[in-house]
Amino acid sequence: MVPIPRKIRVLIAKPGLDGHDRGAKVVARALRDAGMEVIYTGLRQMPEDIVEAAIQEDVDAIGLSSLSGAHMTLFPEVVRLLKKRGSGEIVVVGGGIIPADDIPKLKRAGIKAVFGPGTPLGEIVSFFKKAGKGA
Amino acid sequence: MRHEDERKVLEEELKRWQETTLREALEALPERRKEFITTSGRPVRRLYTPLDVAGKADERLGNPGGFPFTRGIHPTMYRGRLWTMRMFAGFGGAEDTNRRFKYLIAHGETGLSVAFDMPTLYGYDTDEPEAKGEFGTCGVAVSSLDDMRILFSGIDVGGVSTSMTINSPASVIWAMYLVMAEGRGVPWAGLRGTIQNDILKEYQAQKEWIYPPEASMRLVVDTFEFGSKHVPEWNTISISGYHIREAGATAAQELAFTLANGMEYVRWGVDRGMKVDDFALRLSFFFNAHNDLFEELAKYRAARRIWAREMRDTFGAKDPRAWRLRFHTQTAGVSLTAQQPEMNIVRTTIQALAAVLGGTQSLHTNAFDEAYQVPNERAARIALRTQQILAHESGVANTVDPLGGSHFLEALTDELEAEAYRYFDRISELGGVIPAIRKGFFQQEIANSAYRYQREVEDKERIVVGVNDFVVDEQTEIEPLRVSEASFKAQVERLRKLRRTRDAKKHEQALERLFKACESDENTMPFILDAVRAKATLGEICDVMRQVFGPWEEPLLY
Amino acid sequence: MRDLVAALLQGDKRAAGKLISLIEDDEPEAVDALQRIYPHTGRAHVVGFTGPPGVGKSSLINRLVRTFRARGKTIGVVAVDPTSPYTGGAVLGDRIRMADTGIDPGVFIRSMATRGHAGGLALATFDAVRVLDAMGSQVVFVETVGAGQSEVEIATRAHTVVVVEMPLTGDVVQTMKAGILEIGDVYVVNKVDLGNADVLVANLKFQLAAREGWTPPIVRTAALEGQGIEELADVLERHAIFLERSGFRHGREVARARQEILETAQRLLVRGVSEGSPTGPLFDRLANAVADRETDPHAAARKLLESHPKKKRPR
Repeated sequence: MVPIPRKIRVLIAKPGLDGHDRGAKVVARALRDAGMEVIYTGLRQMPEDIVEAAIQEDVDAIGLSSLSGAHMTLFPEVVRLLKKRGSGEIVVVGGGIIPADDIPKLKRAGIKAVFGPGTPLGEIVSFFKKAGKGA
Repeated sequence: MRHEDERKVLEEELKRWQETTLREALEALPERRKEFITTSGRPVRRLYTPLDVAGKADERLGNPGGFPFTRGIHPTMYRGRLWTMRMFAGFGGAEDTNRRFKYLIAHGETGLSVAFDMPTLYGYDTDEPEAKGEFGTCGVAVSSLDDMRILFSGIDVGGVSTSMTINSPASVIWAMYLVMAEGRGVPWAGLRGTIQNDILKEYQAQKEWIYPPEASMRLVVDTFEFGSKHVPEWNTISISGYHIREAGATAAQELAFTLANGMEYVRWGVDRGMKVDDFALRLSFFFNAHNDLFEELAKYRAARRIWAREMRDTFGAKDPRAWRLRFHTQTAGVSLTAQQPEMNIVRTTIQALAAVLGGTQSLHTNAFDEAYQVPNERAARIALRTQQILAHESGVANTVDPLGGSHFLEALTDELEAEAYRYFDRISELGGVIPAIRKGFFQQEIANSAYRYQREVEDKERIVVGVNDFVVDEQTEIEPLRVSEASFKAQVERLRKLRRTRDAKKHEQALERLFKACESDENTMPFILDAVRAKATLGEICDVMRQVFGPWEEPLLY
Repeated sequence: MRDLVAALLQGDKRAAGKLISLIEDDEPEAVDALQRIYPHTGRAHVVGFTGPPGVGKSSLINRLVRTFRARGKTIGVVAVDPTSPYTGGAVLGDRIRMADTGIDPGVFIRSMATRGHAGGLALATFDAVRVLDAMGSQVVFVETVGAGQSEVEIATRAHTVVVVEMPLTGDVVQTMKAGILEIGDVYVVNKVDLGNADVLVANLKFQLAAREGWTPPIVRTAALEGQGIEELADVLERHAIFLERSGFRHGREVARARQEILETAQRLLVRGVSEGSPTGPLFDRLANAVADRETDPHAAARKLLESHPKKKRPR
């Protein structure tokens, strides 16, 4: 038997109050169709919930989606809590309505990539693939 | 019969054309694609002729201002009065948004439209833990009567019409507006405006709910009942397809789900014991304007025709005004691209044109920077100017329903109408709108359409300029709009002061009475108004309701 | 590796997460880890849930988790969702329904995809259960995808098997899937608020018989509203006590061990003859010999078994 390649596991979450889940769901499906296991945690998640789920599910990466403008508070908080729990190796990325000049700040805070509106799904999928392999 | 003869002649001519002229042309130059589709994935034929339009013109179209209102709800449409140019605005604290309102009015806006921030939309005060990081980012924070007073200070609330995009806590925010007007001596009878108050589409698409569907519907009907008696000029609901479309629905789904929701509200109103003519006049609608000009136009026209028929024939409304579907339009936020954002001005112009040709009553045009942020002042002004150019330079407002009679448009209108009725049947089979929500029907339909659209873009079956073709590598420069820390502090301070200085006993009693009213089947509006007068905050009032009504858990779907 | 197991035994959730991944990925390290974990297992009460999709198993478990937490128990959940046969991917959404217990330190939830588990999904699922058992979860819920043969197969390896059904609406005669009446220790009629529950309950009552001195109770619930959950929790606790006192718990453990030993042996054999293994070439030769009618499948199989390397470390 050929050894089965290790599955990439990704957590897709909507932090904060924002209910716009079109993007999160489309990305979740695209990652599934690319052969990954996607844990979708649904709406209105606190950073603490997201980090706990990521650890229990032992994911390679976390995708955060926010369209309400709360990203500067919520995204870095996820990275901080992961580090605190000794799971800093989990890759965190963000997507949504993110002003251009917030992107470098998010990256400095440990968000590995930011995907704005119009990002091709292929680009997102290959990013997660790479993140999964590196983990 | 003469009609039959004409048809035959047309069919023969068409056949001849296909066999000669068309065939030669296709041999010389094949078409660019095998299939041409609309934004919603609907196939479009090469040519439309009178043969594609069934039924009698007078039944399908009627005349403007007359049943079934396909051509418009007013006999003179924009020759009489232009649509209301109503720009959705809100960010930061009440002071920030009040300044933006005055700026927009100074530049020719004719109606106000308030965007609230996330905590407000969920019934939380700015200083609650759930509100962390969300203050003023995508709308204005209104936690109390004091905020509402500041928001409208210096604005003629007796003269202007105000639309408020608020759903689950709509009755509380409306009560704040009413008490604010009361405090300024403006009688309720003269107040004009709209609360969105459309909770059904929240469960289906936008997902900003607080309580379970039945409790939410009760609150909605409470506002219908209260409004029809005390604030007769106010639209107590704006039944919204906009968010359904933004979440990924097709034009037909937007049309069908919105109207199905509309009819559900009517049923609830009738079940409460109201006469349909007494509250139907205050039902308004809100649609999306997406890129596909003709499909959008057909959607608005089909919506008017369906609503007129259902209100007259199914619900037995006698007042012809109750048959008219009045609607606000917003251009499609989801069509805006982060890449080459200036191109969004062009997209928005085409979408706004669809809304105007489709006979909208009011219009919001998106700003080109909205794929990044809540619009800055300059971007918001350009968006408003787009409407003014359409109104005053394009000439499209000079005649009623200028595209009516186009074979393509009429055929498309019929198609959308038929598809809407097929959806109505499926919804009934599932037991109605709320059972279908519980089964996740709408959510699944919308998510499937969203994914299909995205795949089409991925596979380049669909070109999005600047995204998957005509791409340039450039740094985008957009002047950022920032919510200031000072606004946040001022808001929190104002809340603390309010809680400190209000009459504690009066406040407590008002909330207790509200609790009891929620438990009973009394209309909640008078109790909410009293709580607002007693300086209860939005979060406190919604907490009372949360205690009585409990939470809502979304059916599991992806 | 030693660190992970040691950490797990200290109750470390990160270690539990990583160990379950090793099991799911079928990594060789998992075998070693499981060997070391095994002596620390056997304490948890394992409850398996089966029932058609959409019947509300996740919501029921969510409520039960809260109830058992209130009773002072620590809880583990293993929720299995299907892998797409076309893409190999999966969207695992059971956490959504269990979200409100997410950050409780006494709760651990793990979503598993069915994958193409060569060694059997049931084995992997119960290895994951053992990880949670060793971590200190006192009750472990196993949620399966549906009510097909393989799901029933998984659920019935638990100490207590819960069969979840819901009343149908309208004038339909509700028939039970064949075999479903024989496997349950507890029957739940969920969503009693929706359809005609009485008919279903009566139907079940009529058909269920006592087995080994236990008559399967029928519990009516409305998971979303939290109805009937306390009663269900009581019944589950009662069944745990019954198993303990009657000695049936040990009986069930032996039955499961039998299955697991057989399945593991089967797995080892399959692996032993697969491509790239020492006996792989022999397997090829025998296959050709059978095709050429030089020998028959039965004789070839015996030859394979005899040649199976005995001293190799099991993987």
